[in-house]
Amino acid sequence: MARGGVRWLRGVTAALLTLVLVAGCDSGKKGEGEAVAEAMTVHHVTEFLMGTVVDLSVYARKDDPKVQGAIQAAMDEIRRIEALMTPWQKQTPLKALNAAAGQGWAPLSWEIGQVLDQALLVDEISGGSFDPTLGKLNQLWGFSNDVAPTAPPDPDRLQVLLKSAGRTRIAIRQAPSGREIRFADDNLWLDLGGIAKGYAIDRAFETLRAEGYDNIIVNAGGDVRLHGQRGDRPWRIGITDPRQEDDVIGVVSVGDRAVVTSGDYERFFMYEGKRYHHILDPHTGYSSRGVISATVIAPTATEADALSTAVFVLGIDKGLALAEGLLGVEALLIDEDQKIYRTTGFGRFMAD
Amino acid sequence: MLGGRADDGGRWAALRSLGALVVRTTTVGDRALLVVAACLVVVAVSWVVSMPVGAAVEVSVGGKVVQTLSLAAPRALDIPGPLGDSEIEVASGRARFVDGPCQHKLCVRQGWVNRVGSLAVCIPNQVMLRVLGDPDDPDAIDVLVR
Repeated sequence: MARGGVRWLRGVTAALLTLVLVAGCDSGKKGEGEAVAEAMTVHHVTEFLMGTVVDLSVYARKDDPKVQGAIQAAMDEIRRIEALMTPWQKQTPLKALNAAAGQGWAPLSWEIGQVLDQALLVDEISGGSFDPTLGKLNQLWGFSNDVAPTAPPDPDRLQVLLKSAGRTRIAIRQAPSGREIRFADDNLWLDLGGIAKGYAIDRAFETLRAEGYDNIIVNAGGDVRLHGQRGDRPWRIGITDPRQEDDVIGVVSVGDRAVVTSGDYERFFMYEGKRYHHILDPHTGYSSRGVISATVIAPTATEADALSTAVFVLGIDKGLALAEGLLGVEALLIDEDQKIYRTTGFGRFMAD
Repeated sequence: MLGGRADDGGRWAALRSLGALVVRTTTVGDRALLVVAACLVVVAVSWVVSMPVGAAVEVSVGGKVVQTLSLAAPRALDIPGPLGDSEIEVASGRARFVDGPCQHKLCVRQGWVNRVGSLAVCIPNQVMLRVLGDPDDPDAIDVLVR
């Protein structure tokens, strides 16, 4: 009995020693990759800018002393673009330009001119489906107002403003002091709302890249541009289900590209059983019908932003055809029956 | 590197002396029992490591994290933002906005979030929910386009 007790005690002691040793070995056998992964993290910084939430993500060392400064520099760049040309600030150089509409030639700053050039190009290749001169019409609808609209505007006024808009109603010339722009009259304003956010994303992206960060996501209200990956796996991008917003219709990984979705579910109101949303068809002046969500993958966010609106307005057939014809551009469209259409190259970005 | 090697040497010496101790003081049956115990420990450790980590929701106001809530514990709470209180609910491993001082209630329309990496936001009240968890979860996303 006594002997058995001693043996039992010995056994328990040995077992405890073994346990300690095994546990020790377990914590000591970490591979080098695992140790590196543990030293890394995704640094997130979130700010409310451009009328939406801007979320910058950088995959870097946990103790990286530079990363917060780099992210702040990128945020500052977004703030700068917001103050220059987005509709979410009271006073901007773009609004000053609009205020002088119909009063002859006015100086066009280099940067606004550059974004306007890209907007006009997308408008041209999409048969007038991305019109940056719809400022007055957008104001009439009031989707950007603090107080949400509840009914469509007066149809007569709408027709007047629609006829006054269009890229042929502005002129741009090179003057000795720089470029100048002229509006045909004061019934049209520039509105870069469909492209300026993409441009701001690209500027923030370039800032982070210039600071030396390779693995980054710039996200402004669900419009994103990415580079690199998260450790040993690619960044994973969920595409919102347009009629079930707490779900995704798929996950894509796109490498060094931008992904932007235009949807009818962001800003809308219901009137007499019909959905009126903020994406206006420049041909009709009313909310574009047929497509409820258009996702575009493109090399830059500026292109993806403008093209997602253009293919949304063009509809399934013409929208897909436009995207198919552009190098490095893919699109995924969803129609009113929630049927999904994709360009031939889109599938290679879909995650398993 | 040198420090690491010296450390390893010490560990092997300890292992050898412990091995000698075990051989001296135990029977074959004891040793078999020890092997079984060791296996059990390894299984237990790997089970704990493989459990999903996090599964929490981070609540921030104006970009500053104010709370991190476990998604395992159901609760309702009011988060004060610039416009007033946003009502948040956590239940069944997910979180959502129930109501808020915003006009469009887009935050409420976004519904539940539970996928690792997904966000729900009330832009006017600057309140944001971010689901935290294992980034290697097969359903995890890093960003949501919308």
